[in-house]
Amino acid sequence: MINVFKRHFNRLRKYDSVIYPLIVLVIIFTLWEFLVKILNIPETTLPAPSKVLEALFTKFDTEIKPHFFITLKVLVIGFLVAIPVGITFAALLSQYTLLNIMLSPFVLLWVTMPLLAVLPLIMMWLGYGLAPRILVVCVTASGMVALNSIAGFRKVEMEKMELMASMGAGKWQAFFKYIFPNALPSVFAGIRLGCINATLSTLGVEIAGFGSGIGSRITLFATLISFPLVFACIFLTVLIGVTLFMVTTFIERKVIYWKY
Amino acid sequence: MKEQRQVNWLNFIAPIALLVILLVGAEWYIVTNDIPRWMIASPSAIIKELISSFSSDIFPNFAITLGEILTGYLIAVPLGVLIAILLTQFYTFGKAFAPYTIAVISTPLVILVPLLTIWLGLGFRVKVIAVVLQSFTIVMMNCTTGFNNIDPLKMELMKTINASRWQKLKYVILPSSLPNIFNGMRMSAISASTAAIATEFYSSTEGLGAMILHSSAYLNIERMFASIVMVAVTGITLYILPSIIEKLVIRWKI
Amino acid sequence: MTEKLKISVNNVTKIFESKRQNITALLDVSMSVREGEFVSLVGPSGCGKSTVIRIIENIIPPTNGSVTIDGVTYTDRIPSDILRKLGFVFQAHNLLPWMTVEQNLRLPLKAFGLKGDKWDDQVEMLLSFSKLTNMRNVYTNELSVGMQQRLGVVRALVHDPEILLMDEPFGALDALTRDELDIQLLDICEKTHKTVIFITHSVAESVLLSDRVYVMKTNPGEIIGEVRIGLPKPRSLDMKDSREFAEYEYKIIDAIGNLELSSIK
Repeated sequence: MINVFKRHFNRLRKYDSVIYPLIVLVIIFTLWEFLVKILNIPETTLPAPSKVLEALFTKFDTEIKPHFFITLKVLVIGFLVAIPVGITFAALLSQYTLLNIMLSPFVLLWVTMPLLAVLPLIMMWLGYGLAPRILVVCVTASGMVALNSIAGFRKVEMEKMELMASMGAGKWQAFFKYIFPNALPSVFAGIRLGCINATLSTLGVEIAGFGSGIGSRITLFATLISFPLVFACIFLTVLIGVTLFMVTTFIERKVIYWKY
Repeated sequence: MKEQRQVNWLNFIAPIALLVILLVGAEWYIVTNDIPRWMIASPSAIIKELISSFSSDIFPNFAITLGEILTGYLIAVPLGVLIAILLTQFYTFGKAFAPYTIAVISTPLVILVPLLTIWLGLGFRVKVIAVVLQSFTIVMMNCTTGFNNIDPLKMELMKTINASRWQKLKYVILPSSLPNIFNGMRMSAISASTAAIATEFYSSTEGLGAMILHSSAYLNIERMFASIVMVAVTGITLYILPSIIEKLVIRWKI
Repeated sequence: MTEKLKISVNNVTKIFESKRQNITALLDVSMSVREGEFVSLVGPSGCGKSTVIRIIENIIPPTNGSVTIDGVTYTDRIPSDILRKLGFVFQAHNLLPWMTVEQNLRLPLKAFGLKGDKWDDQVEMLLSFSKLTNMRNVYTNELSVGMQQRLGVVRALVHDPEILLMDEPFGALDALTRDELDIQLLDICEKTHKTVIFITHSVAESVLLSDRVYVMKTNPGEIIGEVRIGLPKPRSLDMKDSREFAEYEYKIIDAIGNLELSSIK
């Protein structure tokens, strides 16, 4: 029967990307609401979507807003600082072979180490403010950016080594005019991954109870068993994560327009 | 030829030399400047702690954390591949869930941990689920890239032999995407370890994360550093594992 | 005496739509091939030769028109029993690098569900014919270009198709190997009575191999001429030196109307 519908609405094919997800959303919401009402599921196990929305709109200003912005602040600052740091590091490493040889394993460590684990230590040194968290987010994200950027720079350089030599340009000239622009896809891949890891680091520490921010609200409301608020905060977190990711992808499309 | 051998030797020695210099330097600085014990531990003290408490505390906790991560990881990888197959090979499914996969990839699923803990209680299960949730998304993302970028010529070949959907997967799509799958495994290893530690911070009495928290509460700096070192070891092991498996599986020249 | 037509391309038009513009790759192209005939398609780059052959193989559908094979006509979807009769040879071997020589060769058999001794013998025969028996467990990326191309050709033959569609199969090879493979191809076709559509850039090759040559032009792709090659069969390489040969070459080049075609004599 669905096929009959499809054939009739073939003209609307190009809106599939919007229609199908919307249908899924509507189905999930109505099913959820329905099941909670019919099976009489207590609010302490699973709240109905209507309750969640209600909680979101009524309680936002009072209890959630400051935390929302703290999370945003930590995430955005950490992430934005990480980008130039990572790229600079990658540039230096790719141009100075000795540095590269010495530091490669450390870069590996940098990337694979869950820096979350050193947060308690850093908090012992720097206190309970936002600084330690921003530091952790920044270091995590810049690791990703650096790793991918190094790979990108080296790939471009290897491919075009003869061209570079024939151009006779100075090392850094060649870098900025040629290597860097050509390696942008790799750099942006690193930035995208860095974005994901930054969000992970930011919220990971908040959930664990190290300070304020929307993750800490999730923990708090969970222990208080105010589930509608928990879900509301989860939704807001998703909003933050998705928006940052979309913005990054959007900028990527604009900068590397030729790939699209 | 001689040049190559020299470079290889240097590749090996240089980072080790750097590490040794840093460790010795730190040791000297900490000892001579009499840095207070609660701030930082000297390398020698850390090593002493590692050795003395290894079998009693350090290794068991390490094993627990590693166990959580590996179990979650082993579930997450096939799950990620499977969902990527569904998303890329079945039009309806792909179109319907595309925006939700973006949401799932860009949001750290650790935020579900408090909820999961309330529903499922503390313990191994919750941690494994947290790891699974966090890592399958990255595997899925990399697999999707791979599955969507197959050489069109090879798909033409499949058409000429009337290959079914499953034959296309088996003969072209999956083998062609193996590098992407392994890359996804590498990347998700990082998220996996982070998720495990975060969950342990949240609610645990065992594992490396818990050990870090406890040693910080009791100001046992040496143990804290020792735990951090073990966390680093965990991270690196997980990252290298896919590369090793990749060398064994991909025996052909790409 | 009208022999039954094996393949007939009926007024095929193909337009490729892209965001910027529509490209008419083929405009009202019609061809016919009789059973056992060897027909070449010759023309400058981009004239749609590859597109025609892909429409016959049903890799891409025509915008207008249809294809008829053995009396069965199709446009969007080719019936599987007809597809089974076709063997396609790609320009760039198109082997699967994660499989060995033997696995690549057996792939069509697996996909078409052909099992048994008869087919195993076929595989052995083709392996020895293409001189790849010792290399059967080698990954295909480790072969030389010539070996890869030979494998590509025998793979198209493994399921014993009645019709061979070949898209410039020997273009990447050096002249000597090319000559050798040309003669081997003729040999196979003689023995097994296959119907062949062969695409090439080389006028000389088309004259050497075919019974008839269709000449195409580009932009939009159309058939502008048909030349019957009256040379006796079986053909041999020394025929290339004959005057008749040169005359046929000239006829074809003339039909193209200009010397754009890089004739590798």
